[in-house]
Amino acid sequence: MFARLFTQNQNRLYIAQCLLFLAALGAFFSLASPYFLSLGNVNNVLTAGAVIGLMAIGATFVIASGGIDLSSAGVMAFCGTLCAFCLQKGGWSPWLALPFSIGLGGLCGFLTGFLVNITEAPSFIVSLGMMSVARAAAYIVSKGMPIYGLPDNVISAGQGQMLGLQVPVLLLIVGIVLAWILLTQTQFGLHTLILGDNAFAAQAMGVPAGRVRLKTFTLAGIYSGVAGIIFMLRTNSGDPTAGQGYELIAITAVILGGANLFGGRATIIGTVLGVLCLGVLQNGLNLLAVSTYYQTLFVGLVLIAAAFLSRVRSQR
Amino acid sequence: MKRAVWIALLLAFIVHPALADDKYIFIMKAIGNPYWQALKEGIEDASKKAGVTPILMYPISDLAKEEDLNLCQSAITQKPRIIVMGAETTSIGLECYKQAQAQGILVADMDATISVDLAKKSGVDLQYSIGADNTLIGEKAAAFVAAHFKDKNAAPKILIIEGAVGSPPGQDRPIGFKRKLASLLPKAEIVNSLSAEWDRLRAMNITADTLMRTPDLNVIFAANDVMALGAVEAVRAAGKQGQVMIIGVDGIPDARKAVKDGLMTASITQLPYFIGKRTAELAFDAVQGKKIERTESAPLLVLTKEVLAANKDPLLTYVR
Repeated sequence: MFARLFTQNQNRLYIAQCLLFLAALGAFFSLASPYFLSLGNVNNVLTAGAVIGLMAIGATFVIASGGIDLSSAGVMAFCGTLCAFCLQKGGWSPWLALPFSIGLGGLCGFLTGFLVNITEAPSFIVSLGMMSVARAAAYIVSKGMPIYGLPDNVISAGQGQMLGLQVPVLLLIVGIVLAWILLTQTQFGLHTLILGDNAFAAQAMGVPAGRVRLKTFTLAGIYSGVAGIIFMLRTNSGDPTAGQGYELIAITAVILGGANLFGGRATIIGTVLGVLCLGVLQNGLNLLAVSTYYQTLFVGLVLIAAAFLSRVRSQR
Repeated sequence: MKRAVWIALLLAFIVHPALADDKYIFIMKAIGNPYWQALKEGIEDASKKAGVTPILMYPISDLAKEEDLNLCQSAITQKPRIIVMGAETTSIGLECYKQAQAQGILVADMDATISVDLAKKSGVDLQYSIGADNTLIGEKAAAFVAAHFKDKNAAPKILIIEGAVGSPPGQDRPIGFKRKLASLLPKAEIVNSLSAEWDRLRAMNITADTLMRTPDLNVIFAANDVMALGAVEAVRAAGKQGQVMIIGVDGIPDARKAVKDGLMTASITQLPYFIGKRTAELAFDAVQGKKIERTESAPLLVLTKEVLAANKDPLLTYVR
């Protein structure tokens, strides 16, 4: 009980740090650019962050349980490409193509978790393998060529608005709420954090480690699948080369949000703030027309600052 | 009977003294890029005609530049007669050529990443370099924009989406564009010039952010079609179709469709199928010791709705 209270306080502290950092970024960019705080730009930041955001939320579960999932971008590309293939070449109904593609994303995650369980190999290695397998599957499905031009009804629905929000933003919010419930209000969430904190103690306490791990990777796969669908809807294409390197950005966002890279501590709110920090930074630098060289420098400095914060945290 | 077989074998050897037995390795750029798919088709068709089975090697990603060198080293171990490479960066290309040359393997460049003169300065005897001059592609796009605005005093607002930092096509095309634009439309304003790393979604996000800052944007020039198509979606989402002209490079099928549909204004194509066909032909000639032009420039074609609809330009036969 006391330990849980301590962790909650720690989480609050990290979230407050991240909020402060986000507020500082926001204050700087709103002073530097008159467009930054406009409604349209806020919408841009949220829409642009939807793909990475969903991947990062999926990664939060895996990192919380003490694992790493490097397959997320590959799975994302595979699901988006497969869905575009089913819609455009197969003439499938969106009601069938979307759940089918997302389901296969979940299957990729399930397989990663299953292989980690039976081989007891580091998830880093197994998911690296799955990254290649999923990317290859995307190439095979599309014969190496992007699938461009989805049916009009799909594009107008995907790029339109629902409840006053862009569809990608709405999906992101739904994903955030569901993930928050799963991580904080269910036994599965508690088991995930305990497993990440101390795997031996978790097993001694009767936490079904294998099953929990399987669920975290499956969830990450599903979230990557939804991210793939958003990528497809936004760009009007299934691109097998999509999102190269996005898996590392997603993991960075999770860590920036206060998660411990070695498990046991992670929050969905923290991850969302981490995604927003990266998104705001990118958006603000674009608005200020900062050259690519300096953008890379600033993003690098932020990551170093995050690493420094993480070190300070782990010493406490 | 035995004699007939021997004669047939001898004849086959005379017909293709080098081609029949030699290995020809072509190191391409990443799969998943339609430009390189068309180039590959060109190589395969020319090889088929010459009765050769080429070895094609691909890096998994455009971004993993070191992979080019790994591929090159594994190509060298196969002891081919020639290695033709579309290097992602000049430095890696030169390093590959040096290592291959030291093993007595002929080397050549496709896609104009490294010029014969530049290679010579580094001690590399490049058999040939074929491709389109990337700065020329940028210049062609700028000339197209200038022709559209007609008035030399026009001051359009322009976004340039660059390719990967450190990649010659990604950087040289915007450089050529800016240079030519400065002379043709001196009052044009480049409001943003950023790299989207050849990534469709990054290009889309950069466009959305730029449209926020510059709602009266007039022109987007992207260093390739994939990024231009990302820009198309951002412009569509912002409801600015018709206001912003979008120009890409490569002439890939999706871009041609977008041009036909009026979503993109033009795509400058350097005819990758033609480059692939010629690079294979030149490789076979080089191995046989024939005299060849060391530098061959690929023709450029501006694909617009009108050009595609008229379907009369003879260069369109090379558009795949």
